[in-house]
Amino acid sequence: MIGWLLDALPLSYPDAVVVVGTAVVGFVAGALGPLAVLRQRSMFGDAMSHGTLAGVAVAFLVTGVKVPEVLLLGAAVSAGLAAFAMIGLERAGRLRPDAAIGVVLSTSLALGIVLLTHIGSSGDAQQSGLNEYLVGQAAGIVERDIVLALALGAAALAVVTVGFRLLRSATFDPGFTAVAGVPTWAVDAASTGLLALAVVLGVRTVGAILMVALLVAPVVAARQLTKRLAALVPLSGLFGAVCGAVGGVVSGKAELPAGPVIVLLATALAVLSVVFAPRRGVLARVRRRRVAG
Amino acid sequence: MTKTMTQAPAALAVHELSASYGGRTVLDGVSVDIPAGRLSGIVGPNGAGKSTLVKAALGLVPATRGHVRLLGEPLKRVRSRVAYVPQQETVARDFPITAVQVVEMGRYPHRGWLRRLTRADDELVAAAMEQVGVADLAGQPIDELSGGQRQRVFLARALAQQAELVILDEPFTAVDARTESALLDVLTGLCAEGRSVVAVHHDLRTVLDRFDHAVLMAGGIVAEGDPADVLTPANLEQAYGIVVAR
Amino acid sequence: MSPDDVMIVVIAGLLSTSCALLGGFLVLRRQALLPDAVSHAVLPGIVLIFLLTGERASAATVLGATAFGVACVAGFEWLRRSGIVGSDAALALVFPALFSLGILGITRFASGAHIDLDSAIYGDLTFAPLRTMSLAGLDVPTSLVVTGCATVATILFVVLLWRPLHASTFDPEFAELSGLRARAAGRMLLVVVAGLAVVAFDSVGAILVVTFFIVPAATARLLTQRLGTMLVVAVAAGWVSSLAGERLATAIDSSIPGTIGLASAGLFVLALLLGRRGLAWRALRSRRPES
Repeated sequence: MIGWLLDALPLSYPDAVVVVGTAVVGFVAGALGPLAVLRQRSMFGDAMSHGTLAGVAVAFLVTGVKVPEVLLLGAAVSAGLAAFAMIGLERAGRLRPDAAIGVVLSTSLALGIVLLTHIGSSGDAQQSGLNEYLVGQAAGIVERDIVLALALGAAALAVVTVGFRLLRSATFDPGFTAVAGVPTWAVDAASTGLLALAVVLGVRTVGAILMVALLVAPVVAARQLTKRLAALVPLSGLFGAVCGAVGGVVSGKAELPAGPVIVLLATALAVLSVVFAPRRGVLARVRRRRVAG
Repeated sequence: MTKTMTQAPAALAVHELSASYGGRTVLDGVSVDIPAGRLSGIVGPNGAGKSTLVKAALGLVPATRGHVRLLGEPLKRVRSRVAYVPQQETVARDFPITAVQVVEMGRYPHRGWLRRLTRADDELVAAAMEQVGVADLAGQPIDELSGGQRQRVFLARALAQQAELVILDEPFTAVDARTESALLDVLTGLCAEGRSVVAVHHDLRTVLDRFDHAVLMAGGIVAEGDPADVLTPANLEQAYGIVVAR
Repeated sequence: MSPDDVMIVVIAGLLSTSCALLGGFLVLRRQALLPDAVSHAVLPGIVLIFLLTGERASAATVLGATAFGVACVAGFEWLRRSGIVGSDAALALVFPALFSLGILGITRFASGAHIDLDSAIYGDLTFAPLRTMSLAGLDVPTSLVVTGCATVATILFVVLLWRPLHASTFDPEFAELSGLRARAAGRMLLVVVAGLAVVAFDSVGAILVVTFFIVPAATARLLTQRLGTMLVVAVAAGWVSSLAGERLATAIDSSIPGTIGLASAGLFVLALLLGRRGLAWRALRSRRPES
């Protein structure tokens, strides 16, 4: 399906697959990132990505095979569970968001480690393939992964587009939306599900530890350039895609792991935008203060 | 004592004070002298800069320009003589602490990081809690108190500090009418002892009925002086932009 | 329990003591995620010191790593204060970037350096009793000495700065005004957290750093209503999880940091269900008709 695109790129086939794969993942994460960042839930992504480890391990233990789709499903389920645990702790446990995130993050990480150790000690050679969920492995991307990411990403973006006004009002003013008749839990569930999807797609490429940067940095960069949410989502997706693609190429050429390279690129973009953005940037603010003073 | 108070330096003297809050200039060259020994209210519409004025005067919001004297001295030299009762929102409500522990904090400005609280300190704490009617709540965790009880505890902390100037930021929001009246009695009592009280407040009626001095703000100072002279229909219209019937 | 097992429990318990003491303040100050960020951000510091000196576990390493931890906190604070980025996004922006630098440093320059990522993340508590140093003629595990010193230092810190720390956590404006130098105390807290995170990172790995800082303190918060008792309960929860986790790891032959993490999560869930205003009580009460 995407063979023509891979052929059209001036890269060898394996490199082209990595670049297209990281670009797609970057786009999906960037476009869905506002769901976390604008609700002040950036670190949710961190706990969710750590949560994927346990899910991957359980999926592997149950099925005994390393089928990407199965592991992905396990990861998605456990990332979603982690998210609901956090929301539940905030609501019912009267915990502050940061403490709730911290508790869930360390619990799911501990659980993941124990399960992975168990798999490792049962002498299964394939467990090394599970480890890549922690630190990421872009070189392992195959064409099938891209198709899967494209399909899921398109579905997620369709949901965002259809439910755009709802998500916008829920992000901006959760109380108002609840009063207006849409239950908060429904919006929470939808946006959490979408985030889980983004996390799961990205986690194998950049790793659980770095995944959160892929959700947050493109949004921060785009946020400085536009005020409108309707422009923020595609712009942030674009930034994510560019960082993914460039990071994919650079890491291939320099023989470096792709995750850290992509994350550093995205962070650099965010910092550039924070400093130089025409209206909201640090420099612009300093200049305005000078003129005003 | 009563006569010399009139020559005492202003409780709060602000000269050409400018401050910005969240990137927006809220105060621009504001000057005002709030006299000592009185119960003074700072009133005005939302966003008039009332809270920013006291916060900038107390160094809680950085001032970009101007200077401030509290009790005739710069802030650094009078810290222990000035007590502040913050807006309830800035306090960590779910902090695990009991009422008496909050009031004990009033002695920290006198005791610093390490010196133990003495028996005299304990007596001051107990007396302050007695005075505002929360002595029986001493062991209660702060997050189990009502808004009114909590505000009484915070006033007790200011009393325990034995400050000459007490500054309160919106002390009566989330407080029942009975508590408000009781707290005002305590504040009036402080002024009768020669201490000064400055409260940011939004209820014009209370200021008119119970305060000795009023400062009306809307960006800058609209008027200040005796409440009856300050809260005139003309001044209020200028501050609030609407015609107010008295 | 073999002497080695006891030693592991003691090292983990000492570490959990100092982490829980500071973690209590962090949880109340809404900074619970800082140790997580710091423990990741120190990696480039460790790599840099290795490249400069060729050592991976020296005093220089601790200093270099702490410097990066402090840089992470400072960058986070600057971003947060500037108001451009929310505090959650600021954190999510700073620490992955530093961790990325660390990983690139390892793969590019230090691949033969035995700074392997696995031990950084999982820690090597299991081998802690085997690495010893000579102290007054006795062979003492290095980790025991290091965590012991860290614990003493943390207790001293919390006792000496008790007033500014708790006053500024409860009511920052009052603390600032009262001349307690609350802002300075807050910054010192973050520096000490960074230093401790480095020490902990070296002894038990990144997982347990996060767990020890947050979970016991969050557990204790559910059970207590005074700061003093909260910190004592948090320390106790840390020791109980260290012991239970170590026993569990031996029983099922698993990763010690992982099982300690699970044990402390178990304590947290118990507190959530059975603590004051616990979920179990609430469920019982809602069944019974209102009297």
